[in-house]
Order: sequence, then C-alpha cells, then structure tokens
Amino acid sequence: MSARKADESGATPTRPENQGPAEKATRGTLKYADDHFGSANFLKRSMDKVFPDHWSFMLGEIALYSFVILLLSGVYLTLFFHASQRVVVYDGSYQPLRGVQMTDAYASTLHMSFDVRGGLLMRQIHHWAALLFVTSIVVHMFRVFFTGAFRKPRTINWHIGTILMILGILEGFAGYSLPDDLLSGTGLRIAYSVAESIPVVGTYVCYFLFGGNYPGQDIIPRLFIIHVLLVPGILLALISAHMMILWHQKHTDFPGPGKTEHNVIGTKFYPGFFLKTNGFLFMVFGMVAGLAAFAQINPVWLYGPYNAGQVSAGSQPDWYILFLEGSLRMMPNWETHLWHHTIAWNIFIPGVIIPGLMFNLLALYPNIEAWVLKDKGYHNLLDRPRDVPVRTGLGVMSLTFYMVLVAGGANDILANTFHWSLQATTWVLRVLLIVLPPISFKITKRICLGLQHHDEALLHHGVETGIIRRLPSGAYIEVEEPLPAKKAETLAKQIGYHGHDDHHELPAGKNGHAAEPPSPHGQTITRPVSVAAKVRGKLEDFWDEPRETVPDTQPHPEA
Amino acid sequence: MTDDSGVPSPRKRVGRRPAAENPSNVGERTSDMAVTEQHASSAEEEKFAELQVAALFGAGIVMLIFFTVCYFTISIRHNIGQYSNYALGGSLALALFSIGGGFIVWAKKLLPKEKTVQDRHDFNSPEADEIEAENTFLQGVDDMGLGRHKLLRRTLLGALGLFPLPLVIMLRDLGPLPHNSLLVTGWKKGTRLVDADTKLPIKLGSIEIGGIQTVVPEGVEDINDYALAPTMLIRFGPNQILSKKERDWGYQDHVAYSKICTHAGCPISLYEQQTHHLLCPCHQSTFDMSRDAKVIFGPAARPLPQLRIGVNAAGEFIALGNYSQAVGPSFWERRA
Repeated sequence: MSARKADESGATPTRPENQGPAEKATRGTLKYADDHFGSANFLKRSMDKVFPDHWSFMLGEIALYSFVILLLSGVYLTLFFHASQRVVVYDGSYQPLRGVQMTDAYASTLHMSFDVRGGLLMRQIHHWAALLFVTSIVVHMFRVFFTGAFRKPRTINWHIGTILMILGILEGFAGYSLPDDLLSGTGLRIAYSVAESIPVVGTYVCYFLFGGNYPGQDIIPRLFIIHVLLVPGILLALISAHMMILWHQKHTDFPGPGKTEHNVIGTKFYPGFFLKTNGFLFMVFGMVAGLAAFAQINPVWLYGPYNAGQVSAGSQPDWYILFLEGSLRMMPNWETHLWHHTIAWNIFIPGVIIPGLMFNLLALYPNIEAWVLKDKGYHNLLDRPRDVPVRTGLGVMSLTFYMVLVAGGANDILANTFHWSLQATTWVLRVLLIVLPPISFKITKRICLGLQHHDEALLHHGVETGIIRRLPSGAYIEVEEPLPAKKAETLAKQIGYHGHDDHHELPAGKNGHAAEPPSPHGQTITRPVSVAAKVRGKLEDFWDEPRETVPDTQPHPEA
Repeated sequence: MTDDSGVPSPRKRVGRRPAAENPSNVGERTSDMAVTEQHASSAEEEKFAELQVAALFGAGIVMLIFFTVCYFTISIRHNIGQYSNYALGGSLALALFSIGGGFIVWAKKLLPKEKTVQDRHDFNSPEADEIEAENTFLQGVDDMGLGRHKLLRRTLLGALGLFPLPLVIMLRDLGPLPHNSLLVTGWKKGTRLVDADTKLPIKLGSIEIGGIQTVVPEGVEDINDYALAPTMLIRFGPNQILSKKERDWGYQDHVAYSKICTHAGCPISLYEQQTHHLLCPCHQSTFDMSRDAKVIFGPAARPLPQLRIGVNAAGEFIALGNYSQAVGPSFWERRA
C-alpha cells in the first residue's frame, strides 16, 4: 500500500513487478486512457482535489442529485406520455372518469397512473424531485448569499446559478402544465393572460406561443418539447459549466484555524469525498422515493380534464409559482386606455415587471456590492452573516418581500383558515409588502450587531459561569471563564477576518470625492465627480457598518 | 460530520498495516498538498465497520428483491393502485437508503481519517501572460485589418446581424396573426344558450330566482375550441337589477354575462345569492352583478361584458348578437 503513496523523495515511480489480475486490469485501463487522452495528470490532480467539510456545502449537491433523479424518472414518463391535445374518450381503469372526453395528454397521464405498474410512483418521484430541485437551489442560494460566496472570483458562477434557478422554475411550470388537468390548465390560462398584457407585442407573443387563441391545439406538444429537450439541454449545459467552474476555482470555506485565503483544508475527492457524495446521492433518491410512496402529490385524477368553463376554488400552484400568484392578487386594479389601446398594469406590473426586477436584482447583487464597496479582491474565505450586517439585512429584507408575496398567493386559504375577511387580508398584505421589508432590515441589522457584540465579549471576557463572587472590598464581580483554546482561536479567526478592512484593497476617495495630492501651490484640489460616483459614495456609507466592539478590552489592532 | 479540530489528535496506529511499514504521513508534502492530521482505526473496529456496511448493502439487496416480488404480486387494480404504490415506493426507498447508508458508513468508518491542506494557486495568470494574450489577440485583429478596412467591417456586421433573420422569420408560422380573432366567442344573433354540460337549451322559467347557470353557444362541441364563450345566465328576483342598461339587455329578470374574468381569464364561479356578488376564485376579483357587473374588489379593472339575450318562439333563451366588446383579459389592441 504505502509503496503507492505519492513519494516526494524524488525517485521516479515504477510499476511493480508482480501485479495481480485486478491491479493489472486497472493499471492497463488507466494507461490506455492516458495513451489516448493524456489523462493521467488531470486524473491524479482531480482525485487529489480537496473539498472542505461543512453541512451547508451539501445543499447544492441535493440540487444536483435531484436533477439526476429528474432525468431518470422523466425519461421513464416520456415512454408513456402522449403530448397531444387530440380529444379522446377515456376508457381506462379509473372508474369515475370513464366515458369522459379529455385530451390524449390527460388520458395518457391517467393511463400511466392507473394502468402502468410503478407509473404512479414514477410520476410522484418526478414531481417530488422537481419540488426538491427548486427548493434546494433556493436554499443553496441562501447559503451562497448570506456567506458572501458569490464574491470574486465566483460572481459569474452566481449569475449561472441564478439562471439555473429561473430555468428550474420555468421547467417546473412547463412540466406541471403537461397533464392538461383542470388545475394546470387554469395556470396556463393565467400565464396566457400575463403574456397578453405585454404592451404592443403581447397578443402576438400569445398567438405564436399557443398557435392562436387560448387554449388552441399546440401548447401541450410545444411545452412538451420545451420541457423534455430544450430546457433540460440548457440546464445540463449550465450545470456542467457551474460544476466545472466550481471544480476549477476550488470550494470556499469558513475562516478557522489554519485556514487562509490561499489554502483549502478538507477531504480529498477520491476516495473519501467520492464515497460520501455517492452515499448522499442514494440518500436523496431514497428520500424522494419515500415521499413518492407515502405522500400523494398532484392527484390529477381528482381535478378532472381541463375545461375552459370550469375552475376549482382554493387551487394553488406549486410553491415556487406562489409569489407570482400573490403579486397578481395583491395588485391594485390599474388599467390605462390610450388611443384605442389598453395597457393592463394590473397584470403587467405584478406578472412581468416585479419578477423581472426581482430576478435581475438577485443576479446582479454581487456586481452591485462589489461596485459600492470598490471591492476588487479575491475572496475564498466566507463571511458569517453577522459579520456583514448590511448584506444580511438586505437579504432578509428581500426575503421578507418575497414571503409577503407568497402569503398573498394564499390569501384565500389564510382568510378561510383564520376566518378573516378576504378583503381585509388582502389589504393588510398590501401594506405589509411595503412596510415589513424595511423593518426587517433594521431588525436583522440590529441582531447582527448584537451578535458581533456577543462574540467580542466572548473572546475578550469569556463565558459567563453564573458565579457571583464578593470581593473583600464588598464589591460583587461575575466570574467569567475564558473560552476553550480551540473555540477562541476559531472565533478570533472569524472576527479577525473582518477586523481588517478587507473591502478596500484598492483604496479610493470616499463619498465620491477623489482626493488629489496638494497642488504645487499648496491647496488641495477636489476634483468634481460624476453623479454615479456620488451615489456610490453614499451607498458605501450606508454599507460600511463599523464593527461592534467591547469598549473595555485591549485595543483592537484596527480600531 | 465536520471535524473542526485543527489540533492533530494522535491515536495509536494499529491494524493490518504495521506501523513500521506505514509511517504516519502527517506532514508529508507533495507539490501543493500536505496531510495535517490522520488517524486509523483498530482491527476490531475495522471488522465491525465492515459488518455494518455489509449489513446495509445486504438490506439493499433484500429490498430490491422485495420490490421485484411486489411488482409482480400486488395488483394495481386494488384501491386505485395505492397499495402497489406503497409497496414499490417503500421498498425502493428502503433499498436506496440502505445502499446510501452503506456508502456513508464505509466512508466514515473505514477510510483513513485525514485532513489535507491544499494550496490555492493564484487565480489569474501572471501579468506578463495576460499582456501576451491581449497582444496576440489584438495582433490578430490588426492582421485581419478590421481596424483599417471600414467597408469590410461594416458589411461583416451587417451580414452577421442579418444572419439570424431566416431563423426568426421561420417562426412566423407558429401561429396565425390575431386580427380580430380575440373578439370571436362563438355567439351570434339567434344562437341558443345551451347548458354547458348537457348541451340542452334553457327554457324561460327553468332557472329559479337567485339561480345561476353556465351556458355556451349551441353547436359548440368542445368548449376548449371556444374558450371565450362560457357565459353565465343569472336570474334575479323582481326589481333586484339596479341598472337600466342591464335590465334592457336581459330578459325578464334574466341577464347573461361573460364567465371569463376580465383580469386573468379564469372562469368565475362563486356567486353569492344574497348580495349578487360574483367572486373569481383565482385572484378574488369581485363583481356586483346587480350593477352592471361593476368591480367592487380585487385586481380586475373592468366589469364583465354583458350578452344581450332574448327568448325565441319556443321559449328558449337566445343571444341577440355577439358581445359588444372583447371578452376576457385586457390586451394591447383592445379598444376601451
């Protein structure tokens, strides 16, 4: 064994004389690959790649593995699904719908659910995996956002990730629409109306997408090919790029003992990480299969086939569409009529402009933050959310805005469950949408500063023991114990990482005033600066929260 | 799962690799890596771990066999296939959990526990390389003469700019142009109002006071061919209709309104008999049906369009024409 360990003595490694058949076959295969691809060096470096350990780094893996499950289960479903809006009369084994007219899409969905053994299981696996895919992407993005993992050099990977999330939502919506049941048809009807509301081109967009007036005969076959080929192809390409960039750039890690901006500490990809991550793939798959077995999802047979004249109350879409539903429900009923044209602000704003703004801000946040802070440095070590109160506050603020929209998408359920008036519920949510985000920003920032204070106290005063001691002089003191050495070191690293002014690697004049050296005549000339620079300066003031420190301790190096 | 300790905690190294033959490679450095921390487990520990992993993989095998048995023995005719689903899904889940657990126990208990430190190399290239790459690129631009040959450059941009044109043009036949087709609802003068389900005509007097019925134009086989056609026929009590126009367009306390919401096009379905309020279940736009279907709450901006109705010689409801305005959600070409 040890003979195979990498040897730094400088001696050239040689293949051993007596090789067993398995070893011979393995070495032979690897040599064959190297002879044809020159792969030995790459392979060695890849197997030795070090991955840091932290539970939050597994969130992205869940997304990756649910994508694998989606591909596998999705291919199975295509073997039975008929993407056609041809009208047929159902005569399968689900009694309540026998003799009912429906599209072939819906009939084949019923067929695979009731007449194909394991078909229902596959459908439910596919649907649960889809929910898990979008959910884990979103939670993974929380991790990346709140720890600042999106900073240079990983900004472009954040952009790719945002596109992946948006595509995941679109892909989910397309797949959800394919069975052509009453619930999904209602969703498509609303999507058509949203597209129709786009000024000037909306009607044409709808007619080209749906092949005419709603619902037409084309949307299911077109969504099918978008759902099974076009979007998955793009997803696959972007996921590959996402992974390759991650691989090349190496993973970020939290600050800690021995960790610097210039190293990675963790487990080698092969065999340790490889075995664990394989196990994790099976675990994720197992969880999805368990959900599919025992938690019913999207029972399309209960909704009935799509009918333009029917709708069912209390019908909510999958959770990731709920925020759009909420923004549509909360929007005031504004509409403009001008020169024989109509602009439906009541749909265009909540259905197109709001999600457009949200996704763009999300995608561009890293660029905005770097611009405001003039941060051009590389960051391989992560922030703890408390150490960057403004970013954390902005994140929680955006999440609050989003959550109020989600609540708005369930306003009828809320009103019904708590016996509130529907109108009052909607009005309260409208007010909360404006009021709650800034409040949550303030509170979050305050909590972060409090936690910073707590950290400083822990480091410089130690842990409270609960023991009060009376001094001979009569004074009472609280006995504090210093932190255990290991914890203290970790904490010091985490705080120290922020103690120095790492945002300003390239110092520049604050507040947009580019200070010039004194002129030969001895006056300081302040060069006039652009509006953009002034805005940037103001924003930087807003961003730069001085660290909370504990006053009565030894002076902090940078304080 | 994380072992955060930065301090190596040495343990006795026993096992099938004698210590002498396998000196700890803590501190060993390859080109960019160093193992900082490592401990191995004892022979008994290893044996026990192997048993654990084997038990998990074995459970996986059993569950996969069980899955196969269930597939062939449990009929999907019982309880609309739920039993089959529980058995197949349950055994598959257990098989996957067992195999996954096997991998994880294997990795955690049988692999040498080591922490490796690897250098991150400078991310960007040395400045000299960057400049050389820039120079090579710009030299190519010079060689091609893109800067000097203005005519070449402009025609190139033109040609490449127009290159996607065929692709875009060929999308033209994805659908017809809208023209006036958003006004087509299937209603014409004299069309009988028929029940949306039974397709039978509605006789005067067949709807009770306070009643509401969804109707479609006679002759529409599949309602999805005329998604804008669904209409509500509502019967009020005497003198309950508060708008003259509404009364004039109706017939003897009966009025007909489009069922398609003017907000996002959902078919409106929740009618409150006492207040004459009609609520759309999608986004809760609420219309007062006794006052020209005026919007009283929610995101809809316009009242529901009314259909002029009358009664033919046989006492059946008929339309007196198409809707006088576009039905359903707003769009750019819609005239107010």
